[in-house]
Amino acid sequence: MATGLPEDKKNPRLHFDIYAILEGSQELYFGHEVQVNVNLVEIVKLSTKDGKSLEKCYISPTKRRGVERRCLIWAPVKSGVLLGDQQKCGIPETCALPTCPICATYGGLIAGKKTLIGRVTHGGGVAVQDLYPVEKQRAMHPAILSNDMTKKEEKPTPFKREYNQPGLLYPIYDHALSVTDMEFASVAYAFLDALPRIGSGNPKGIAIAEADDNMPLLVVDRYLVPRGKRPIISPSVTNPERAIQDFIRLARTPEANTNHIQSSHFERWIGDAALEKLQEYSSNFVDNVLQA
Amino acid sequence: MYCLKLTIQPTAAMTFRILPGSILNIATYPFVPPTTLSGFLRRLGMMSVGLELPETRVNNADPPIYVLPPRYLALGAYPTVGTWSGVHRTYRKGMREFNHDSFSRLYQDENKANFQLHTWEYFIAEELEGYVIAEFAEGLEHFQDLEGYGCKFGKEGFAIVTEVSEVFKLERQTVEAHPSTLLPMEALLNSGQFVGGCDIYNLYRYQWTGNIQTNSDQAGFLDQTPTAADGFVPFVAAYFPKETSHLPELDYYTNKEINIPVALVNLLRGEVHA
Repeated sequence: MATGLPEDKKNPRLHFDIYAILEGSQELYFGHEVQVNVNLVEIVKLSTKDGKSLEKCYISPTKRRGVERRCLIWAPVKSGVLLGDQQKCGIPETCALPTCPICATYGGLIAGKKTLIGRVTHGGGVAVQDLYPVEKQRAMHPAILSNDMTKKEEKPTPFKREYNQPGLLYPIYDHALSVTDMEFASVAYAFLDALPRIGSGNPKGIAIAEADDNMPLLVVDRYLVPRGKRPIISPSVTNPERAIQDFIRLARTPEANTNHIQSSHFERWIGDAALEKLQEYSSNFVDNVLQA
Repeated sequence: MYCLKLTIQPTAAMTFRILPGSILNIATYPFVPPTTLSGFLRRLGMMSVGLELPETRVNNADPPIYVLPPRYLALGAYPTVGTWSGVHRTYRKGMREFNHDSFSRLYQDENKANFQLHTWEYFIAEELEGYVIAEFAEGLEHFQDLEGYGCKFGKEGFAIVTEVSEVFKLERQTVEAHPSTLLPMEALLNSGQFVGGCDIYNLYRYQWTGNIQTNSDQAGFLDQTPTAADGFVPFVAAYFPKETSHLPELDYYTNKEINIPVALVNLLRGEVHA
């Protein structure tokens, strides 16, 4: 076997893509480094060959992937344990079994012995607007009500922290290659479950942005042969209206008037139809893996 | 020589790891090395005929290599002029050992702080232009079928081929021109020219085994046959990220717009040792 994966004639493997524009509903912190008393967020700097440059906030795909994997590890199983404990699969010690609902898609490694290549890749994350993060004063307050100010260690330690500002749009993409419908169910569960858990510390949470007509900016593709156009927003775009228009236009190519495009070896769900499709996969995961 | 230009749209930050390198400092090339482009296009070729992606085993198990057959030489991919790109340098907590699960624990009785801090570079680009060159035009038409397909790209990353040009012909000429690809350092040094404005990188090419010419235009490309390569050979190359005033005068395969150094083609074929 060139792929090393077990054969499964009942469940053919296909390709899946999730495209979305996420919107920060409140300030978010994605740590980059800590300078003296200032915690910085990750900023991406882009430039052109003729010398123009641009700086933007960023949700790193690696951080989204980490949250998604932990969502699966911490998913509650019917017997009362968590999925990672049931599968004996954690981080970094994974089980690396092709049958594990976590490792099958997110990959596993037993150093020097076994590698299971992850078949889901995370992308995007460069914000649309070039809005700079804002620095806020924070302090670690001791939890005592009556304070003896002579004790140095009980005084609050002030520090500053940068936050990505609310309202930033982040185009993001998840690509799953050669996975079965069952395996994609864990990706759909992890994708939806991770959204309210994105961001380090508090506050957490990010939402799927909506267009003016309340359509969620979400597209799900299930295919063997890619068709139409992929709704990908270039990291150079800074106008949120243009990003949203482009996303919808690309998603609806070549068929403009439907939220469900079907052609040979290709199926696409757009907006609410995409959200319902992801939720359907997600509840299949709950029924077949968590509640089985 | 016959050539194709592929327009590639990355959907993710990419890491094309510079080797040899440090474990703690993961650095990326600000372009796609020829070897990586070759493996990427091979996988797209396999996907385009409905084959599953090959798995690669742990390194010490001597895994098979799946890249384009030497009949089609991938020359790397570079940011399109006028588009945005950058190398994003950031910090990541990596694990020092893999035999524990403290990174996924909700309850930790003793914190062993079993991590090490990496600096990690990601290449973020709006659009890339890649080239494939071949001595014969036959077979290059298969690359048109790769349009729309996407796959993992590099140690980290994902990209989609959005457009594949028509096959065009390049003539061999000695001209002063901006190289569209990497330029082997050996060729630049041998020419005795003083040229600035380039960055110098250590790269690798495939060591082909056996005869590199095949009669079939699909064998080793649109099937599951591992590539007849048994390892990598290092070489040093110059990359010209910007237009410079002092351009090298060298042998190119050129159509006045695209300039492929003859030395790079010979080197990737394994015909010279640099």
